[in-house]
Amino acid sequence: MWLGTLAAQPASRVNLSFDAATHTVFINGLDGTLPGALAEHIPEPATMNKVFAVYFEDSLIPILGDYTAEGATLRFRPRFPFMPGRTHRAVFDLAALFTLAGRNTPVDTSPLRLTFRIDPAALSPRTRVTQVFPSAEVVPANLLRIYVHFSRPMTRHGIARHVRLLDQNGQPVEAAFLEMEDGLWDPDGQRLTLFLHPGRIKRGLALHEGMGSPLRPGFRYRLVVARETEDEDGLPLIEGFSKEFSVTAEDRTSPDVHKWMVTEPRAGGRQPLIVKADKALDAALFARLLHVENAAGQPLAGDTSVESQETCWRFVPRDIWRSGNYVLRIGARLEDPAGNRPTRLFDELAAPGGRRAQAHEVILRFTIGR
Amino acid sequence: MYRFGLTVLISTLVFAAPPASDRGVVTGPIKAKSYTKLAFGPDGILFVGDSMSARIYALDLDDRKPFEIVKALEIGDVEGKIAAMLGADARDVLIHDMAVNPVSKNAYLTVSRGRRGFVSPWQLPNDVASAGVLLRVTPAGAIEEVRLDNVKHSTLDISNPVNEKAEVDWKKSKQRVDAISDIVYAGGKLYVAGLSNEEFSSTMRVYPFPFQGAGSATSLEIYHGSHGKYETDSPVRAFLPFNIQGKPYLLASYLCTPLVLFPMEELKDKAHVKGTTIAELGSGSYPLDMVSFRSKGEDFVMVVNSARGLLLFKAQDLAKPQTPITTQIEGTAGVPFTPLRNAGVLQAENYGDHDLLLLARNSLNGELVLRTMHTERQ
Repeated sequence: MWLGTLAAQPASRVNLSFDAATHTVFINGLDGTLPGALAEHIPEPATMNKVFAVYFEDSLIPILGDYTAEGATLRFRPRFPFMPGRTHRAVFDLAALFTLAGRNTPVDTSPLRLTFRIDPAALSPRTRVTQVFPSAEVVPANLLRIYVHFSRPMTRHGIARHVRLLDQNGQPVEAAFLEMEDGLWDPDGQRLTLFLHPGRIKRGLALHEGMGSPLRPGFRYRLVVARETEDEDGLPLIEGFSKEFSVTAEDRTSPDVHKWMVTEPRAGGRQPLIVKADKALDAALFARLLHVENAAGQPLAGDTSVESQETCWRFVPRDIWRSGNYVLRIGARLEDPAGNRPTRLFDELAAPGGRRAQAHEVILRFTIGR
Repeated sequence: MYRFGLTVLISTLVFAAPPASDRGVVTGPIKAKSYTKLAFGPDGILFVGDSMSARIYALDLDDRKPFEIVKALEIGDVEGKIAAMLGADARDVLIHDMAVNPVSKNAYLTVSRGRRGFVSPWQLPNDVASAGVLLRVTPAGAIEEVRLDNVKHSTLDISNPVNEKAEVDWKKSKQRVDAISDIVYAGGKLYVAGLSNEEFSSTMRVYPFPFQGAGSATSLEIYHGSHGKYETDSPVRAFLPFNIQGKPYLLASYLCTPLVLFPMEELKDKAHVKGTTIAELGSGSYPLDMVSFRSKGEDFVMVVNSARGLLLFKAQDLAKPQTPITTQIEGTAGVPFTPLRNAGVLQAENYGDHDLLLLARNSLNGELVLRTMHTERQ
């Protein structure tokens, strides 16, 4: 029995402490033989809880976690990190440990108590804005979407407070983005999509006629992501982010896939297939909506990337290229940064004389030779 | 989820203990990426589907001490109690699935700290977080963690699961979370619904248990009455084995919300099967769970619907010859059902022969409650 080695432990030497860096609660100063024996067979948490437990705020149910023993120290690490800014209570009952050991309880050992809290301000931020699309420094006045990429998952809620579009006088552009209290995030919470208010961009709508586009040609703007933007642990960014760009005339032209250049790799290797578009495209859609198929119609597995300010799509196949005919399938929903599709303009329905209400998939054929 | 077969209708399915084979059974830690779905098998075996790893664990938790239910169970503020265990607020606590051990009546819950991750009303728990904690709720009402760092288990890898990068555009989630969208054990086999990487991605996989061999994978197609089209990419959300005149079927429900029959005999490897849509339960909702039970000598199937509460079908109505739904419909159609007055139910499981265990949100105070519902009295 591991507890059999417990000698008369002087309670005064026992110390309960918390280390914020490792999210660990410690009991130091135990009889050295005790943790050594514990290390071999630590009792179930349900048993350990009666001796040593950590609680969230005023709850009476202990936090789940793991107990370890080493040297003269007993440690508790929670299953999930302690929440910054919140109160936690640790209780260690030496008397309970003695009782568990079947020993006479030493006198003068009321439980040790510790209240601790991780100060969010003292934590080192870990997250930054890694990229913003469009990556070009010049965008059309009818720009539809801006993507902001973060290095780690973010707290999705309340993002609207932290993202601003400023004009060249540093004044916020009013109603620049579609209502976005909690924002539109990818499943990982690392990519935020900002929609410049589509109602202000679409010709023929009251908002467009009344307020005009949020971006005006010939002016400069700045997208600002505040340092206070919280990551999923509630920590601010390492630093605030800003990107300046200038605005040119509205772009009301469709991408023309027949002007695209396809650099065909040779059979027998895994050289990239490089597709150069005739204009910059929406980064996320460009990456996602192009697919390579072989002559049998089977999609090829591989890695895709978007480069050169979103004018270029690269595909590195998982397997080597085989000679033959291939198809590059371009999804109907591919858009340029202003929402124009290869077979339909963003606001074509509303535009006077608009004809092409439906967008269609486009196919480019290419051949891999020996 | 373990579903009892309808004792009258299911005559060809035998719910028997597995052969005394320990092949592939090891003792050690479970390193799952996500506890996506739960189901009970024979003799206290708990199946845990892990969509992210595309793997199923069959856990022997040594939980096979019979317990006969003597009183109703009701645990209030379940999220508040679990929150204390996770060191978080009640509004962080997200329960992903529930299963009840038919032998011991212990209920198992998979849990994460992810509830604040919801950004769309169409997301399901597995869309917003991966569950990483398994809890046990005893018939006495105690909630305790089930640690999986040294557990007797066997594993099964699912071949060709849906790609990890594929997204569901309209609800901003990963298709991969539905690599395993529901699991059911019946008659010596584990039925696994989910998405594959094939063109027709909705798939029903069938594996013998104890695990041996590759099993079969069949792609599924349904007519979706409220969408007015045939669909192959929407996964089965909940299903049950169901017998009609001695012939075994799977009764499956889908998002938005067709109820479809698939003959089990057609579930052959690499086959493509078109189901028969026998009911539409109204659009704009998820079927969250399905359960079958017997009450006052009559068999019932109940669908837990996210918007309409508990929808009760008489088994004999489901078994009648149906005119399949093959044209677009508005509202509801097909086999009649009775909506019960139970808003806010998220999970329902058999709890002995005369009760269901419901996980339900109180629509007035928002509290999540785990409680029994006596089926002889609905």
